[in-house]
Amino acid sequence: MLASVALFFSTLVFGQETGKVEIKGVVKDSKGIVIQDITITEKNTTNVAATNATGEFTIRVRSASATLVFSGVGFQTKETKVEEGKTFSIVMAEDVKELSDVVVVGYGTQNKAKITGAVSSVKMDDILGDRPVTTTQSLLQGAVPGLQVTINSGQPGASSNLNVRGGTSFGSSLTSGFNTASPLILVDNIPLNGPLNLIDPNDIETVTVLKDAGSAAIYGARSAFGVVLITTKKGTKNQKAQFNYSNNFVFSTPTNLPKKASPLQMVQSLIDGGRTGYYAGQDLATWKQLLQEYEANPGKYPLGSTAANNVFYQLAPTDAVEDLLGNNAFQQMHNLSITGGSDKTTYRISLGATDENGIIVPSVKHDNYTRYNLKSFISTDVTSWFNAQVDASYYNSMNTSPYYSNAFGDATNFPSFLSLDSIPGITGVIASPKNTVAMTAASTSRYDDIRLTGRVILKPYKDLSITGEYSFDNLRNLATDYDQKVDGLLNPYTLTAGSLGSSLFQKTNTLTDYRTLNIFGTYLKKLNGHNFTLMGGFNQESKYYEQEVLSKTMMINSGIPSISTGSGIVNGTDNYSEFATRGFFGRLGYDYNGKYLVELNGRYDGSSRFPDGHRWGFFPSGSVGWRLSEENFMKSLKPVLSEFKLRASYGTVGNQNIAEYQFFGGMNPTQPFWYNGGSSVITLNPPGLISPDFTWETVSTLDFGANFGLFKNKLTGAFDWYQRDTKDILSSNDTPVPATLGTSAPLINAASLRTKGWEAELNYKDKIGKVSYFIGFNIFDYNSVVTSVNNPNKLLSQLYVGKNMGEIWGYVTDRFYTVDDFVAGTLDGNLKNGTLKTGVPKIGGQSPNPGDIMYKDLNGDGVISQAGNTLSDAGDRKIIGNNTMHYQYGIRGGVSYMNFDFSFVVSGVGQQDQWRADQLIFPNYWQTYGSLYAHQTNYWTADKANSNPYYGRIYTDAAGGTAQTFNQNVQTKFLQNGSYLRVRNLTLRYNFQVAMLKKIGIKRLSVNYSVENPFTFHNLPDGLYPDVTSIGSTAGGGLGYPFMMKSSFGLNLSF
Amino acid sequence: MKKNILTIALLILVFTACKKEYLDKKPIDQLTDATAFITYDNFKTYTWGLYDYMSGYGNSANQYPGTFTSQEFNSDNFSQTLTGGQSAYATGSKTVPATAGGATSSQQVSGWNFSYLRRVNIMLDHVDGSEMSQTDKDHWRSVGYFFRDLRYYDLIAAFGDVPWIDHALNINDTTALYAERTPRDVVAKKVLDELIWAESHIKTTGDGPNTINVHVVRALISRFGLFEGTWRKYHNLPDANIYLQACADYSQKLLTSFPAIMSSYDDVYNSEDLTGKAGIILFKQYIANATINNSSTNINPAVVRYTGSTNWYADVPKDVIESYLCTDGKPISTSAVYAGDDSMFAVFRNRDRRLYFTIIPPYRVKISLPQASPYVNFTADANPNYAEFINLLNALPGNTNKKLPLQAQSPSMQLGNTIPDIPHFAAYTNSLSNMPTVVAVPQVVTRLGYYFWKYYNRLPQDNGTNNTADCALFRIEEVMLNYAEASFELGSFTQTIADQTINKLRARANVAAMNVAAINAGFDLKRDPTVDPVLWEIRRERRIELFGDGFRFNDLKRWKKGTYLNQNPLGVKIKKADYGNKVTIDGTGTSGYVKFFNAVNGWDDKFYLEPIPTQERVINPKLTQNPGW
Repeated sequence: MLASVALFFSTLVFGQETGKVEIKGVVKDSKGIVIQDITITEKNTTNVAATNATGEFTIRVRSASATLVFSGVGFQTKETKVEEGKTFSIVMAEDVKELSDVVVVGYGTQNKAKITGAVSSVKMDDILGDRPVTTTQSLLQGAVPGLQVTINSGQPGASSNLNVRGGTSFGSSLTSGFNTASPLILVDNIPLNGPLNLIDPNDIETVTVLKDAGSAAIYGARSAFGVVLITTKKGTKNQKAQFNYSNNFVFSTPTNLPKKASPLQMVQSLIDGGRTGYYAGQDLATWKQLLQEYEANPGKYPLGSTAANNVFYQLAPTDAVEDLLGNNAFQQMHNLSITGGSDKTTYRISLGATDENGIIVPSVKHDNYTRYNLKSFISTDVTSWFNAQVDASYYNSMNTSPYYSNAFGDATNFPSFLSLDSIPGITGVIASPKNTVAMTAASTSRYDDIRLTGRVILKPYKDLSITGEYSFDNLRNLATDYDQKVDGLLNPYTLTAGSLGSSLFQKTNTLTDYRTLNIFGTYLKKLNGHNFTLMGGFNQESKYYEQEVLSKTMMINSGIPSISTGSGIVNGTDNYSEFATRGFFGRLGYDYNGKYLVELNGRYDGSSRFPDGHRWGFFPSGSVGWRLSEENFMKSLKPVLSEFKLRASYGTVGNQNIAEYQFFGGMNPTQPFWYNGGSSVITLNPPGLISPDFTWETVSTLDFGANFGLFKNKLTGAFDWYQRDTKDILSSNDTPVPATLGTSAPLINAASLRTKGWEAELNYKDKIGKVSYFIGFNIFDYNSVVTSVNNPNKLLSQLYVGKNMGEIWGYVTDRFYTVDDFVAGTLDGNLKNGTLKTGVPKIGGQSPNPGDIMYKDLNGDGVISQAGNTLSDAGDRKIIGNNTMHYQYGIRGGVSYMNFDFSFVVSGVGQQDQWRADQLIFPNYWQTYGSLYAHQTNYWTADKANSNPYYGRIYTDAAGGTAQTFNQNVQTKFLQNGSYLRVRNLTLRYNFQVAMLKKIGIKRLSVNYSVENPFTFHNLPDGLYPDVTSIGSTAGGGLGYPFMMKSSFGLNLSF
Repeated sequence: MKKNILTIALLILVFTACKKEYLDKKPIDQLTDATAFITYDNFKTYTWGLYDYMSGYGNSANQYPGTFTSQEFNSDNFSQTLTGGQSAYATGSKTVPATAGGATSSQQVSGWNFSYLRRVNIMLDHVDGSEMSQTDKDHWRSVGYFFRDLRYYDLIAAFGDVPWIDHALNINDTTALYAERTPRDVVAKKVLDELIWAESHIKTTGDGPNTINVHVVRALISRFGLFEGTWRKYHNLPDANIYLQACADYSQKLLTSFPAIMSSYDDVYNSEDLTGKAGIILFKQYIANATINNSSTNINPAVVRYTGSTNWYADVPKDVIESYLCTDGKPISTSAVYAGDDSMFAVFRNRDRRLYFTIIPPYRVKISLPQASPYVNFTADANPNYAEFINLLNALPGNTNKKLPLQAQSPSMQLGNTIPDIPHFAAYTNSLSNMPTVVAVPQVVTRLGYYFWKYYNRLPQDNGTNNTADCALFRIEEVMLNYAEASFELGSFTQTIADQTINKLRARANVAAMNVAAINAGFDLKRDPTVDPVLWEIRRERRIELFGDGFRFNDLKRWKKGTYLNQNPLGVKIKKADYGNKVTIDGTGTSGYVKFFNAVNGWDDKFYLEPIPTQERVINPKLTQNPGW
């Protein structure tokens, strides 16, 4: 394979010319160390040479007045005129790009110093390093101020949610609250369709985030909430083929699993909750006694269980969570790339392979993420004014995960006194979460993505360049779900046999075609310090989506599921959607001597998502910048203040990110639950209400920013303040309509939202002796408020003017009800069923007992209620917190000494409230099948009443939604603190001496040891992380897929 | 030159790409109301979706007998034996809901929910504009009326006054949207008028077997007429007789069309196919291994075969058991053959056969190991008396489903989970017979001892706990009871009517016929003295025949007998020592009635009508709240 690739490239390298004048020299770096593999080119020829291991080179040039170009990876390119007979000693400066960097912006690039919008850019190599991380989004967490990356699961291949600058729109439903819409993600100027997972981080050169309208608006239709530009790595001209290989071998272990209370504590809690017996006929008093004996002398019951009165009693503690998740997993990643180029052609080919196992057993079958990437890029100058490029990528990923997702909820609810193994005297396998997963099928999801892009760049006249590019992206997803039927499982609670699964096999085939056409031209003009840039272009995109779902039940053999091998009734549906956008855009840039900067953008956009006649909108934006540091009056400060720029931008972008066909009262076919003569029938759903004239949402952003560099840019920083107004938000449940309407209100432009926020970053790098180091810090925050919505009564069930994004309404916890609150003599022996004294507040319809939680009667009406549930009549609820992630930050740093590099990445959230109600928060949360955790034993009982326990009274045998749940209403006492700090990565790398390696033809070799997620500091009970959401639909639950701590060994090799 | 050509070519590409249709994207797979209501078959297609309002036993796998029994939990028929599980109407803990929504399927306490009405109205709005003959238009209008009025029946039952909406509203129809509630008198009259119109315009045979036809419309008139007529009578509203007469008239027509009933009471509830069965007017089909919309949870065998072990808690208070007549046609208070209630065996002796099909009769067997497929081995208990009802059920003619000992789950289970004895208390699941196993049998456990098993069967379905027995939605037995009761309220109940109705049911239940002349004040010593003795017997028959089918709560409300909920839900009489002193009884003695809840006394007359959600009254201030809330 490799050989054929190499052969392929060798044909690309053009034949070399030679000249008559021989020039010799040596190339060193700024420290005086010789550099190998610097390419020396005679300018405007194909005449090339390279330095050898001692930094020396020889080149024959055609003319004594030739210019030599020195270039090499990691160094700034340098040009020198030849002087015949002279031996050159060239010192090449390391390529410290920083402020002189060129940054990719909309339809072009821009010198970083001249940027006037709110733009942040990171180099992937900086944030990737040697981290054992498989996905791009994980790397972006904490890396870019203003870019919020949410990943709620440690599962291999877990998806993510990206958001730029907070609250954006409402989506289709106001009652669901705010939306944090995703930014537009483009890879090399072409929208990305599939999950971000599909892109191998090793193929990425830079990630640029355009945050304000001034910079993003040029992308029009889908850029309203920011743009993420991903630029992939390319070849370099006049470079010999360079092979780079890196790998990681990773051992993963789960972090932070919850710890269950002991069997004795568990039994006691059931007794305290009012139970006397358990499901398999156990008598709780007997069980308690046996457990006490067992704890005192485990040798008495060597089996860890016993039978008494013909009833089975488990005595040894079990841990279903540990059983399911407490496993080690293995992961490996390999990446090989070949880069190079002649003076006309450059190329890069890369191959990546990732195989990540999860920790659910048996991992390979049920919990795995595998990905292969192949990417190739070729660019060639056909003529001096015509460049053609081909970019072809293929991605393939395969994800397996347990179909039986309830395993998470089951494991969480599984008390520590239930057997996970066999039961003496009974045949059958206990349906423990682990066994259930192991015995049932896995869901699979396979992605195939082919992206083909052809691009021509014409430079027909001086200063004018025209680019035309067309891209076809074909994404396929093939998913299977199989609810495998398994017989002979013993119910762990009742110890009776049963079966699981409906034998439904389902296959989902999804196809998405995405086509993009961009044609744009750029004209540059310089006149006496006045620099003009004029850019104009055309863009159109279309998407076609179709999905087929087929299912069948009754597999002939439960181990061989397919549509053909099922004997049940086949069921099939399909659905389709399409959209198209088209836009004309233009940009005028002007600067005077790089000091005064002005940019104006305009875009005229059309979208198929709007009704005819309302499709087009014009969206202008502009920005200005002033580089004070370039002014004469600042000259004296230059040694200290190397760079100082003030920026301002304002602009409006249209948002069309709503479901397709909202102007069309479609009636979807569906199957009713009614059979006619033994056959299923098809019916149509009633159409929703439509509004004929809705149109674009508009998003206006005002941004003020500053960039500075101090001490020769050793210390750099940026700050931005912004205000973003989303107006005419498209929403259906915008107006509280009477239920008599019988449906929700149609989608109309209805509301507005204002987000204010700020972002800051600081970077410092320096060298002390042989130790060089850097540290970077970024932080951002925002707050979004509803500024208009049609909710005149300010109903709290809808958005209302003044509502803050993420606000949590709840009761104020007062205290526990005590015996004194009840009429003397009315309480029974268990301190239940008493009559409350008059004047003691309670929730209407509830009958509290001593030990239940009493809420403060804020409105003094004697009853705890939501009253009218409006802002002015909120009853006894108030805003008790806010679940927006405030003060999100990231810190990166590193130290190099000799051949050692050390780096770290930290990120976190400074302030957040969370309301969580689940089994890991409340003891015996699911009354009938709940369990108790080690941190939950401090609940109210009659004898603990005076010691002020943390939790209220528990009920273990109550009907759902009554006796216990009102102790778990949203309230101040159990509001959780969601702030955290996570050390994401620590890496130690050793770089081998070049001299040692050169003999075997290796240019660079390093080995590294890296730890991902070694520490997290947070405030939640064991087993929970603020950023992990729970999995599974079983009541109770709370457990999510834990983040894994990954220890990795890897090497990085160039030859 | 080449440069210019290429540049121009790119620019031309821009213009050629610029077709206007590029942005015209319409759905590929959707119809609109302009294209979906043209032909007869179009209406048929749309109308299938309306049938779902009658959800019968429920719509997904592993559901307990859905809508039917949820209503029974509100009433005095069932007692949900969990802390906090009592009927909110009995404990007085019912509160005003904050937002609209809630139940919108037949035979539940309706929520303030108008989405189904919209669905029906969309169809009715398009009848006139379709390309059908007048006869077909009339037919579909009739079918639409049936569904609209089926929904209004539930809305009236819940709220009394309720907005009358007879077309699909738009957001601009503010007059209708923000209107006051329409008075009950008006709405009920419209419902009756529409149904009568539909009865004379619908195709007699509907759209094929088991569709809405003239009989189904009549059955709804019968049900609604009785409901509204008696409600009006007992809640002192005018015009009761109009509705009662409608009930009587249309019931009579149905009795002519459906002269017979199925021979076994149990088969009404536990037949794989009710097609063409005697007395079945409309039923919901269940089919094995069919899925709905590719969802593993929407597999449409609906009911668990066994009525649960740990989540069911549908205990039946002894008040219900005592309502069943003895075989001599007399209540337990006066019957000569009643054997008393010192044991559950005695209680069940010489009773209405429907009791055996509804509540598991008592027995004891001895389980032997190993437990093996298909059914567990068991042997008779040493005491032959414990087999009394095993033998009785075996001897019942045509009985295939209700056999003892009870197998908690289906034959495909590796373990059959035979229940060794009934009553089988949650607090004491060890067998009274000696059972050589390390596992007590924690299934089919009760708190009170009387366990509901009406939907239990042994149909040969091999899918574990699911059940595909069809569900009767309208059947002649209910119509008979409607007719008997309406006739009585109209003063026209006679022995002839009794023979046409109640005595047909009694014959099937092996109970002596009702002799109207013999019923006097002393006929039942436990009668509610405010109810006429004959009416008391008619109501009793209704409670027994329709027990578990979700009628009782509405019956209590229309009779204005909510106070029946104020009761002490006691169970079987036991000796405490027999159950290791673990089962709680009422009182302090060594034997007595099993008790789980204390007596409740929370019925409030405001419960006759449901409260309007708070938020709806904020949005539309013209909505008045029902009295007392």
